[in-house]
Amino acid sequence: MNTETLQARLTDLVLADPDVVTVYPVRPAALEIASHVLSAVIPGHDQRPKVVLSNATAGTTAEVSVGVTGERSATAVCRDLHDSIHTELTLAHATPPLNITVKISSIA
Amino acid sequence: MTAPTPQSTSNAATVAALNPANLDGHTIEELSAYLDAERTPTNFSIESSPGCQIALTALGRLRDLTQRDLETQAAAEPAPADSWVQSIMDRIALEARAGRDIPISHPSTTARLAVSEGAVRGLMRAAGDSIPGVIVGRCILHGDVTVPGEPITITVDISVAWGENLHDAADRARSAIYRQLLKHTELTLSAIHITVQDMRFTRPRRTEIKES
Repeated sequence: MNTETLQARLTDLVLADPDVVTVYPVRPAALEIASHVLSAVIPGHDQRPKVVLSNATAGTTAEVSVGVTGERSATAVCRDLHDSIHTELTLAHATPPLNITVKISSIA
Repeated sequence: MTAPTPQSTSNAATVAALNPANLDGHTIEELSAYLDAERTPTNFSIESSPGCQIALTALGRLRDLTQRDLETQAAAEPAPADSWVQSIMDRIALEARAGRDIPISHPSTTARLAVSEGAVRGLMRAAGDSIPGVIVGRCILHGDVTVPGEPITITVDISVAWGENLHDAADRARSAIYRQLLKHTELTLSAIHITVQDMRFTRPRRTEIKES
């Protein structure tokens, strides 16, 4: 599975959590705006902020920043997201170690 | 730990709040105007910024809470040039920025989990604002929140509506903030200090008029 497909799958997985309101960009805002502009001129370009994934021989890194509802404990949601991403990366045979960063950036 | 003086904190807060870098390049005035326009047309940069989202939520709540107050103030006296509403808006701008990462524990050594300081300050502000008659001004987390187990002291300034019991309002705000911090963070809280910084005139609710 290529990185973009896996990124999209991880993003869908994160957004499927009922306690997640939104996924925020991890990259600098300027890059996100550039991506947004690209999406306007390139049909099919996925503009959503997503789980950022990088593969290397030294391991795999996944990073995501989210806003949560606040209904359930933010700490519990954060751990659950980590575990879901870990499971998905393991199933996708991502190169270990799996370094996963999950940040709660807003609590509604 | 030496707490900054109120004057120096206020000046630093004002300067920082005017720095667009604190809100991913946006100012609190821009966000206020965006809210006025009912968030249309959609501004991708604002909508994708956690800091702006926290600030917009707080601004929206501030407007709801102060609408009656402002009408009453306008009828009673000329609005001061540097009103407390503006000072709260400045605080919102300052405190909505991401700030430090507050760690969340996980058994895996390769897991890096955190909640942003901005999210926690937004949480505290919402908890305090949920108490009738209370509007939260300044929220500060003292201590190194990036170190698990480090004792943290919280300082919150509130404004209370005229006629409310000050002790009761402060106690209820403290309890609400404590409950939310306990629920959503792993901070080791040593104290939550609430200071009633000012009182506001408010127009009685319709039900209050009927009851009297």
